[in-house]
Amino acid sequence: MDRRTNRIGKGRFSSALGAVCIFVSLAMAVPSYGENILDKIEETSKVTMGFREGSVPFGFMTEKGEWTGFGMDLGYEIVNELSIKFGKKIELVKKPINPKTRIPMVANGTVDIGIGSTTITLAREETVDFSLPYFLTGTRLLVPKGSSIREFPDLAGKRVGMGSGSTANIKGIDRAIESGLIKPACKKVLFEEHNKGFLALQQGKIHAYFTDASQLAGMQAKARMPQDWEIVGSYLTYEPYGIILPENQGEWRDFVNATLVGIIKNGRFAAIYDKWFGPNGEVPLPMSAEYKTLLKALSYPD
Amino acid sequence: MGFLNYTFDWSVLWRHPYGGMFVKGIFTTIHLSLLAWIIAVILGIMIAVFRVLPPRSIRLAGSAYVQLFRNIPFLVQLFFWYFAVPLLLPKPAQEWLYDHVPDYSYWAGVTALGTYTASRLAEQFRSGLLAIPLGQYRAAYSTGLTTFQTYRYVIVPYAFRIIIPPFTTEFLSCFKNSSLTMTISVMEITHTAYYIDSFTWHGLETTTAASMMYLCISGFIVLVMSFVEKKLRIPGMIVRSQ
Repeated sequence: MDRRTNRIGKGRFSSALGAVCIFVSLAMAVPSYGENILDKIEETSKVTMGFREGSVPFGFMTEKGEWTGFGMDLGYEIVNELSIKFGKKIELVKKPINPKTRIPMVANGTVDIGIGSTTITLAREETVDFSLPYFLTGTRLLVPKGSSIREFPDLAGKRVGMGSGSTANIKGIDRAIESGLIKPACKKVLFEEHNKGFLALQQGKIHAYFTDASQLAGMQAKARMPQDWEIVGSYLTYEPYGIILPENQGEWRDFVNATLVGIIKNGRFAAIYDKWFGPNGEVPLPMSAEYKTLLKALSYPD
Repeated sequence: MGFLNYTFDWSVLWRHPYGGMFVKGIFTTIHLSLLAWIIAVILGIMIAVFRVLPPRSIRLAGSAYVQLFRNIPFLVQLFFWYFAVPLLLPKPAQEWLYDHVPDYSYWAGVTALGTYTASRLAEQFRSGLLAIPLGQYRAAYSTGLTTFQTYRYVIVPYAFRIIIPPFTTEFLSCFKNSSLTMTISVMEITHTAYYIDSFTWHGLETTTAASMMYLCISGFIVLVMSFVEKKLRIPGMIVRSQ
């Protein structure tokens, strides 16, 4: 009996050891960026891009189930430039990314580039690189039409929803509370996803939803009655969006930046913006004066 | 300490204010699961008894409850309690609810977890009730006990002793399912780990810490339950696992 028990014990140990070995070898199999990404794209004729699936209009699914969006159009521009650079057709491999996976997927090489609504932050810069900022927004509030909340001080004592992964937003509201702008403090209600937060707002569980104005405009546009909602408050924080790129890939980053500057200068960027954020776009959001200035500043001389 | 170019920084776990948040998260997980468990046990026993009682309508009602709550995924039920149930109330009542029950998400979580676990527990209790020899019923009735008294003093305690092992497993499931309440904005252990990860970019440390917390609490529960199992074992029945 004892010998049998022993054998079983050893068998279990071996299985556990095997499982650990498999896990470690899988972890080690993650590609590292020893090689130049541009060389890899030329060799394989493929570029892997990560796009958002549920961030209207940066990357989302249409009613027909097609994957589309502002970020995706920027991705197509980069692929076109790659095809011109290498003189052959470069295939675009699309991969879904979300707020939790976007940084790790670029950092571990699963995707060569991640395009979505990602704010450039210094903390993120420690793990990945960013392109030039191509989109500028700021945090504002979404409230029911006619709500007494017009500005941030009106949030005093109210319940405010926000995404639990939106660090910059949470820090922004914390600073506003600490500085006495919102007094007495509002109650932060954290939602894992914006759409659940918006549902809670529609039901009156929270008084306002706080996040980037571009996201709020997307939420409003997707509402059953968009006219019942309004975006209020001045920008509490600025959120410059950048394209996520792997670290130590200077040539690749330069190429993406050159493509961005190129399409800003030749008007393609304005056309793409108009397609998604124009009056007839998916999310009507007029360009702010600050954003226009940013784009002008990015039109570097040749 | 490094692993695959990742540098571990465990100090994130006790750094202010994250350490305090984790402690709060642990307490939330514990009292949420305990409250849900109390609901589940009371409701579970009632439904299990309904399922074996002779009147057909009562049996059907018990059966309907089990089928409804056991067959819908817990996550869906959670959304139902949080988003849909308040809509059944008139508008002023809803406003009153949100204004006066600020932790509505917590109570929705407790209710969802309690009612869902009750449906699974009821089936385990039922298997315990069915395992009781007919002689026990006859003996109870022959001493002049009513049906209610028979169940209250003889059958339910006897069945309870039989089902302690699956009962422990079910409690562990209930405890672990509490992590899903993060989707309705309850700040329990998992949501706290997710939140701290967003700020610190040390997801591996926070996730490992969360796993350890679950493991420690589960380990403690198993210890207590094995003690209870020993104490309550049916006289004369050999406990072979010891």
